[in-house]
Amino acid sequence: MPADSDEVTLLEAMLDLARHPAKREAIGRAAHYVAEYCNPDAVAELC
Amino acid sequence: MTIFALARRPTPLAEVTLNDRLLDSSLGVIVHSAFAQRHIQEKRPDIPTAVIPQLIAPYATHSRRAELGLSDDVVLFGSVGQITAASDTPELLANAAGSCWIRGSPHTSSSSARSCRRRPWKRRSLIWIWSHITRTGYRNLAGFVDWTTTPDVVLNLRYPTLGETSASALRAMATGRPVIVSDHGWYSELPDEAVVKRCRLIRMK
Repeated sequence: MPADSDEVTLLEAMLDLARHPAKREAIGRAAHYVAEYCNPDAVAELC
Repeated sequence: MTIFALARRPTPLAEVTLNDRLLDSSLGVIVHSAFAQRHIQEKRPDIPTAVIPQLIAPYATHSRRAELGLSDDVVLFGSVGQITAASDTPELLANAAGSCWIRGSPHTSSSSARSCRRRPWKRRSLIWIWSHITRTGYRNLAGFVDWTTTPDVVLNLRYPTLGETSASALRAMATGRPVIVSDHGWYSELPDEAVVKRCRLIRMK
């Protein structure tokens, strides 16, 4: 059922990240890298 | 019974993604997502568009975790930013016993209450998790960024979207926090390895 599956996917995602600190760290590292594209200083350097 | 499904519900506001008058008076439009660009091109293919990143200035931050008095083994989940019905996550988190959740302001919908009446187990879970929520209230930017840094995982769910980006999600990403997002709109355009994308959640009554 979509209701349960959607709730489970969110819960699963939360539990997965809660149980695997290395995964949290890897995603966070990639997130930080992506956010660098939004850093005004970095953009100014490109200009 | 509350059902979350991949379907459309009447959200007239979401159908008016852009203002016609704005488009009529613009020589071109700069947006922050391909999602918004696509909406413009569908409506006014004659108007040139460009996509640029939303800029988020970096801030020095420090975690406020010590203020929560939690043991080191507790994994902290947080939701930051303007919490509205569009980020209606309390009901979803009712199952997430064992975690703590921070958010900016209290909000629960009447439909959540109805759902709880029909599903007592969910009511018990919701009561549990609400008793473990810390609400920071509104903070200045420095405090806001600190609290964005505090959770181990940030939840940034949203539906509907009008094509906007999320500064809260970007700030969390900038601090190196993993973010769970709804898989639609601008969020879908974030690299798969940089966030955890979940299906968009729509309550069908």
